[in-house]
Amino acid sequence: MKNVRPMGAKRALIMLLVFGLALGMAFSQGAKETTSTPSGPVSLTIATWTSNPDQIALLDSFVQDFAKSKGIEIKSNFESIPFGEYNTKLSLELQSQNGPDLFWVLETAAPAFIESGLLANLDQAMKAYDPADISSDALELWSKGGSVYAIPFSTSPFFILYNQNLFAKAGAKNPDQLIAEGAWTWENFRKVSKQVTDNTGIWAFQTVDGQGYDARILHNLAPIVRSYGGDFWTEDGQVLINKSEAVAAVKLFHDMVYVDKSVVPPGNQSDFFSGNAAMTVGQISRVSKLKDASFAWGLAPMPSGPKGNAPVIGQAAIGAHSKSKHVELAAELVAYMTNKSSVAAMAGIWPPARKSVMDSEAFLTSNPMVTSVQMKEAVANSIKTGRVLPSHVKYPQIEVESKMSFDKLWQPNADVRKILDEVAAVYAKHIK
Amino acid sequence: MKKLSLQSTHRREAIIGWAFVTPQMAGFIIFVLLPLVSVFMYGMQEKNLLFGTSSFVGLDNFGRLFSDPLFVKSLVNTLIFSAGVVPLNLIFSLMLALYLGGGKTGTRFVRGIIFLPVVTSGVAWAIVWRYLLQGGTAGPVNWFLSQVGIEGPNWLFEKGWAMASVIVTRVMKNLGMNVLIFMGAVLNMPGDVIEAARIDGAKGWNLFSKIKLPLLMPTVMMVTIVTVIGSMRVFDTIKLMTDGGPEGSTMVMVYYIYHQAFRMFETGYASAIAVVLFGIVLVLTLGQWVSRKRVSYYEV
Amino acid sequence: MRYKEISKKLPYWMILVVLTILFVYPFWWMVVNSLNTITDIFGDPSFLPKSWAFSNYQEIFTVQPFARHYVNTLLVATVGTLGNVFVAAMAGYSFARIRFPGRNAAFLLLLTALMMPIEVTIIPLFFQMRSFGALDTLIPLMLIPIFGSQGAFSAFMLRQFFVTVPVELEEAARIDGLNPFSIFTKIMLPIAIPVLSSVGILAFIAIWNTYLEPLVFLNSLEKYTLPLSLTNFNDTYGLPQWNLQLAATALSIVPIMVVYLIFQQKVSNAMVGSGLK
Repeated sequence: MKNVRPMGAKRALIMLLVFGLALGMAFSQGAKETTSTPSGPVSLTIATWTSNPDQIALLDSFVQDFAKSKGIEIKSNFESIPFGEYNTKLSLELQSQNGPDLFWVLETAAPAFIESGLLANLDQAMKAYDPADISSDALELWSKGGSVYAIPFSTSPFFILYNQNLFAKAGAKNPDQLIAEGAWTWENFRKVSKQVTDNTGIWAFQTVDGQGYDARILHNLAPIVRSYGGDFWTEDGQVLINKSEAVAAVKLFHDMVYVDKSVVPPGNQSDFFSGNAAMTVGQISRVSKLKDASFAWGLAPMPSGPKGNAPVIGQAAIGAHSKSKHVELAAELVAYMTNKSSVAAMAGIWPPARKSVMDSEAFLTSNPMVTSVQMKEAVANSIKTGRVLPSHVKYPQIEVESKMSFDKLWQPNADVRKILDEVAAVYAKHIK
Repeated sequence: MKKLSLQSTHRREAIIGWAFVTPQMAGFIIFVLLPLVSVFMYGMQEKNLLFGTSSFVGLDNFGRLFSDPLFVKSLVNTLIFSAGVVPLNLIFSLMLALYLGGGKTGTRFVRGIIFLPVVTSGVAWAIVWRYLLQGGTAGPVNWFLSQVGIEGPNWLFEKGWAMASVIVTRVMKNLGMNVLIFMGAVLNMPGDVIEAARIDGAKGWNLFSKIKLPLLMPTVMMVTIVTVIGSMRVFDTIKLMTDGGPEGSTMVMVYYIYHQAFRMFETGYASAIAVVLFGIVLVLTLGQWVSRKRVSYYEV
Repeated sequence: MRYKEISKKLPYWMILVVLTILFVYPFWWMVVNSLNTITDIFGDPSFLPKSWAFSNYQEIFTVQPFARHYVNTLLVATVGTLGNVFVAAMAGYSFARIRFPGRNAAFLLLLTALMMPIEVTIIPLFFQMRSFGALDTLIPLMLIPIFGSQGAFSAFMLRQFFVTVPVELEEAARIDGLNPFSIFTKIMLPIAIPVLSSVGILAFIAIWNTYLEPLVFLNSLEKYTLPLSLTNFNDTYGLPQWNLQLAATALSIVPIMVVYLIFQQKVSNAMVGSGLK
């Protein structure tokens, strides 16, 4: 009996030890990242929605330059979250002890994130880098009470990318030919789209990133709606999405999908970049996807509508997490990443909000795949006249609730006006 | 040891007994009971995940539930989903179990393949079906249909079809489980009772409805409740295949909880929805206990 | 006679064929297209891969740390399963064989966990894990299956088993002078091995396939588990990289399929048993 008892206890102890060890292993995994010794390298996590290795490398080069200038070592950790889930995932991560120290902010989420207090005030950090050079229009969305909470690193207009081979095969006039004739309107956009689909059997148009029916519905509809003189809602609280201009514009798109059947429909994954659609909407950052394209491609500004051109700008900003352990460093890094030299280096991917860079000749040749004429006409000019999407502090609610109504559009016999009335009711409820 | 008084033996037993159950019970309290209490508390707060604010609002969230068209929709959709999944699953699994249960050749094989989706993750299953169910003729399902001259719908993007699609893929995913359970029950049916009924001339539908079904009733009841509760919990299928759309036609309660909490950041209101879900599951479980007592007459 | 036999068996075989197509085709399609390039996936379905792009299976390891995700999942599933089985065996044994005050109440309380969907408590669990500092670690993914409904289920199954073990075994051991813990580890655990492995396999499969918990608790890419990893094969702008996603999905199913094929009978029995009471 005497030697049996310790045996049992020993066994139990060993089992507990093994179990504890395994748990400990897992814990240490988590702990490793969180404990940063002051002497060693500072570890900073940066959340983005791009996972393009070249773009990440470029961003990381800024981080390293910044570290050098400060005489410290920074271990950067880039985290890419898919666009469609960006806000959800990010908001969860910001609650965690391992949350990102710097993060990109979507324009539609700007007011909510600023309101939440999760973004650090950048006024102090920006001072070193000529803040007056940043276009005040561009900063407007990211400021509150005269202070800046995130800095736009990208002010990027949307334009049309097209497949020259498919247009040639269809015997249709391509966007550049229509521009030359001064006939690059949404009506003609629709006409040539139908021609392309009828003559080649290939979709004529893929919505922006293929997400134009859900995550990017505003990006998809805004260029048409605005060039028809409409809008979604305005800053002063007017809801315009169900006014006749907007209705006519949405109807045009709807007819393309369901009457002409020239647009890649919801749920279909045919992609412009792999040659399965003749046109799509993109930004300059998407051009790199055409590096290995098997077709000749062109780039044109968005078509115009009855109310002329109404370029739409997609904005994205970077901010520092106010609860980060290295919040000051993070804020400085944000300012550094949007200083003149960084902005100039990014300009070919993410067009600048800094006036000095935007007006420079170098900007027009900053993307090796895009000619300076294209850059001027489809990007630089649009930045000057373009507007960003509407935003609101309640946008998370608006997005989810309005989707229920927007979804009804994607039926062959949808009553566009009635549906937009419903969307307008959702907007009105939250915007007030 | 033999001389120990009865009382001290009892005490010893009590200590040992509790020592053995303490890890499980402590974990249960921390990871089940405490969160359950919290969910009721959060349900009475306005608690914003993004803003980090929370304040007590009493029963406001519960009052808001029934004026929230999306909540009502998610509740109705959950019921539709269950009403689709449960009967389909039960009927097919019972039929297959009865049909395959007789130890015919190939039974093992069929049992094996029906069971494949059960062990596959819901994520993998949803990913594959999202591809298979593409609209136009791009998806294999519609391609097959087009071969026989049918123009298939855009499954996951048309109202009605989307719900039907998630129901059917879900049924296929879990069918094998119930087939197995029913097979077990079929094997345990007392052969003499059935033989006697056969001699008395019962066969076909009569034999099934009058003899076999009553014998299987306890299992059927249990499987029904488990399947109903399982269908209330559907998440990955919805998130990955339809994202709750189109028009919210596949927005079920669990996905709405996720939406409210992590997309609109209203964790308080989301908790109130979770409380309702808990209530439903609780009623169903109690229902099972009660009905089990009632049908236990048949238990053999 | 012969004709009659065939006509009787025909519907049976037809059902077999239909079921096989329905249930095997999705897997077959997945494997075929995991070997196609992204453009070939969009063509008409084919029975065999068109491009035999084995590179997909290499690429999945380079576009994200898929190997790491695999290891994470293995770690979580192994620790979770062992913990689940051991803790549940202790509790199940005690509930079955030791008389202690409050036993029935405790057992009944534990049973409430059986029916508790994690979806109900996920929000409080998130805040709780945050206060433990356990967000973005694998800890919650291991602890929840040990103590949540999966744990209660295992404890319940094991209790049901231990109730059936003859008392004489224990008596003999006690007379031999074994202490209660030794009785448990030396006598009870060995005879419970079949049940332990059944509940263990069920726990393993459940943990391997868990999606909601990692979705809510994890941030860092290098901590992802497989279900999360699979949904993360997107290109730069969030569009799924179909070919890679399918290759990864196929790879993620392999271990579970192996476990299933080896232990088919055991898994089936465990599942059947799980339903019977």
